[in-house]
Amino acid sequence: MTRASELKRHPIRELSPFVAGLLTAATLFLYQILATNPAVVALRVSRLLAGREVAAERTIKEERRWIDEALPAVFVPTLSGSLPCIEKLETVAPALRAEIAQTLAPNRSRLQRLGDLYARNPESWLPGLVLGDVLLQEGRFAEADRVLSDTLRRPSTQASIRSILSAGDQATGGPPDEEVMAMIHLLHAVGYVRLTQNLAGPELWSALRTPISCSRLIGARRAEFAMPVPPWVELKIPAPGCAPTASSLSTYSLYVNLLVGYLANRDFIETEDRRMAAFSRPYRDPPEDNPMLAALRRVSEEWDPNREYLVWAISDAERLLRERLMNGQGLPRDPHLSLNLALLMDSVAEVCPTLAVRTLMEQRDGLAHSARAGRRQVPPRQRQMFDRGLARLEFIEASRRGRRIQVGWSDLALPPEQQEAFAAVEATLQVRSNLRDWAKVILEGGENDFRDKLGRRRIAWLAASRQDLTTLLAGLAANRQESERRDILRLARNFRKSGDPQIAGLSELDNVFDFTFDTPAMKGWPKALVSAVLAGVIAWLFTTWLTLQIRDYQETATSFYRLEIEERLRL
Amino acid sequence: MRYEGTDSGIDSATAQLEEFIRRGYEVYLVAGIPGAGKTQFLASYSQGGFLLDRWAREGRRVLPTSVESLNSYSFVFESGRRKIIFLDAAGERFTLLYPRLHGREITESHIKFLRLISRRLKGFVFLLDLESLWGAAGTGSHTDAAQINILSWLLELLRWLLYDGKHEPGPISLETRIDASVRRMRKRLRFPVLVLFSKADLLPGLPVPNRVFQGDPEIHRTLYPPGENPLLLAYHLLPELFESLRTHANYFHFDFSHSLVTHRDTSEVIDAQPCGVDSSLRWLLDSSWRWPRIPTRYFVAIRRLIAMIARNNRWRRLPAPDELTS
Repeated sequence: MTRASELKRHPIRELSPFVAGLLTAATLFLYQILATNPAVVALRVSRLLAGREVAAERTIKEERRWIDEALPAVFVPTLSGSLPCIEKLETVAPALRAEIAQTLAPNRSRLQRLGDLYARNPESWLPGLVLGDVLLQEGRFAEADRVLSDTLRRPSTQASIRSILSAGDQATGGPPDEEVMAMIHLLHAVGYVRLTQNLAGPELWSALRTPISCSRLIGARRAEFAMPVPPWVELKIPAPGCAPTASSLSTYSLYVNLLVGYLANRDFIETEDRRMAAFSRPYRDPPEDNPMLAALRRVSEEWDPNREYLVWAISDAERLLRERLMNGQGLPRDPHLSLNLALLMDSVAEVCPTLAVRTLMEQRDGLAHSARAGRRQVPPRQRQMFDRGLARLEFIEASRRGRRIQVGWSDLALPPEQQEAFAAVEATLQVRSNLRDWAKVILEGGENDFRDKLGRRRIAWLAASRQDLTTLLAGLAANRQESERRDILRLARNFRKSGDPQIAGLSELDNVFDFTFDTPAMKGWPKALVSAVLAGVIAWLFTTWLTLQIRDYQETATSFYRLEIEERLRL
Repeated sequence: MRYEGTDSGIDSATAQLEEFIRRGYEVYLVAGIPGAGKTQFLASYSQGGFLLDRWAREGRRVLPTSVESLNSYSFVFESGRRKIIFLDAAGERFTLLYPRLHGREITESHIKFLRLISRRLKGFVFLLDLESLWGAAGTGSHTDAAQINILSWLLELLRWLLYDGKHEPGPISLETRIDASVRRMRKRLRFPVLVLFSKADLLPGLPVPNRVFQGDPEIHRTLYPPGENPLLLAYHLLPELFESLRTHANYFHFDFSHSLVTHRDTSEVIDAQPCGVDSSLRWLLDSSWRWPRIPTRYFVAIRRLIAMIARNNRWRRLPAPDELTS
């Protein structure tokens, strides 16, 4: 005879512990499979992070290495070589003007005849400047350097420059405007050709700095309300005899070449006194308002002689930008200046105090925008170099913002190895532009095309992305409610792999009661199966125990005797 | 197996018991005063057919276990994994263990048998003859009246054997030593204890002694086993028994049972179908006792609490027996 109370028991009740265990296991297995499914995880992550700033520091750093590889920072100087308007020159003898005008007609002996004129007229700056400009236009830089430097060294030229410098900003002193402009153009041409030829030395620095000093006289002579035009205002310096146009040389062109000079000569060193004088400031702007000043202060305090070139560049850029911004002029629109300043700011970001980085990046993006907008003003000879600079800016910005590249860069004509890095960063930016795609690629490793494009770079990029995303999620979980926090942390666990460094905030889930235990080595369905079996067994044990207790409770006051009698009566 | 007779017979039985224990048999002890129906109770248990066979072999009669004898029924229980031995010791032998009944001290030799089985003891059944207990005032013996005391003493002994068991010969008697030790003891018996009010077929109409109602002459209550709640019955009518189990055992159950009904004179089987035996023994032999369980006293406390909240009077006064439903 069976125990009477058992006869009444429904079979499902008899099986309840097993069924409970099975249901728990199945539910958890399905949950785990779904919860760890790359598509589901990626979707959840994208929803969680939607509308938030995704700070992917490690990934950006990794991509920056590739950008440096594909598009190294090349600073673009302003071109020189615009010929004087011979006919309108007033300070040159008419005979010489006529002779030079005749030689400029395009024919085979043009350079030879200009050379003769240059040799026969050592007292005039005109033949030397014209010959130098023609040689520059024809790309004969070495010869242009020889002619231009020689002209600069002539006593008449030196006397003229001394006269300009001694006049300073006294409008009434110094030689006439035409001669001042001729000297500025001559110096600028020497500076440009030396930058192009990578020739450093005192002559270079003199050729880059002196025209800026000379331009003060022009500014004084164009004074309004008896005030000289300040250096932060762009002052056109057309070729001698010419009227100012949009493409004329300007004071900004002079600043650009000085900036490029610093950045291209990494061994640049000045004396202590000059440094003190150049880097000291009478004002103390807050870092959020003047990031370049904050960067200047930091690099001055943490002095490193190997980066003196950078400090000089920062110092000059800071002066120019501050004055413009303080006077409500906004960021400069000159494409060369904008491009070079933006490129400089990307380098400065590493040494900039954290507080100032945001403003620095805003200014940098504004400058990049100006550079893009003014691209058409760049002479065709420099267009490719300029485009590479723009592309670099675009890539760095896209990497920082996690968005895809919007402009096609097919005409950059990069060498194959640079093209490879270029394609890789283009592919990662495409993936990162969509949070869901990014998360999915991190989990799955990416499609074949993506793998091919990244090649050996893929492992490092995936590791950096994994860390960034887990850090982001851990940070996001920190301020949430307990259940939500654990849910987000579990989600973050999906992105971890064995060997990944520990992320703060994730380790709190390391306990046996968490079924999604931290086993980066075990993922996907094996993990789901193990978790499900574990949970199933625990559920079975618990339900069995609970059933037993309920039965015990009921049987405490049960009369088996009565039940058996009732059973017998029924039969 | 059946061992009976002299001390040497018991020694032989002890040696065989040791062998069973060595082979991993679980031991279940059945106790009660002489004539409580222990042997019939075991014979009625039809599990596996073994006992029925034996019963049939012996001419469908169950002989009483003679004094100084030990019946043991061994059989493989359930799916062959469990090996179980029931020990049915003669009632007289148990009464010998209760020193106050005979006015003599117990010695180590008296408890030798209990000490041996205590190591593998997995359950304990005590058959209580209510007719003898309540009739003892008029016609019964001392033994009949002392059934509850005997049970309490046995539980105390088992508790001491399991969780202490040390005794050095000296001026302090073994009984005093056991008393003192158990009083300090916090551990209770962890095996199930089943208390059966035996011969339930003879109990209907048995008057409940008036003393249990504090001498209230207005209350005249007779027993009706099929309609009684055995837990409430023990709580109200046998408070010493209830308290003893609550003190010494973690898991206990009260119930009625009647075994084979035989003719008083001819021992002829009148009713071959026992009641309250199988279910009770199944409760005792349940393999789930190895699981951690909530002690019965807590369930009793929960029931009392629920009754208190529900303003139910059943824990204040013994309720009238229920009618049988068919």
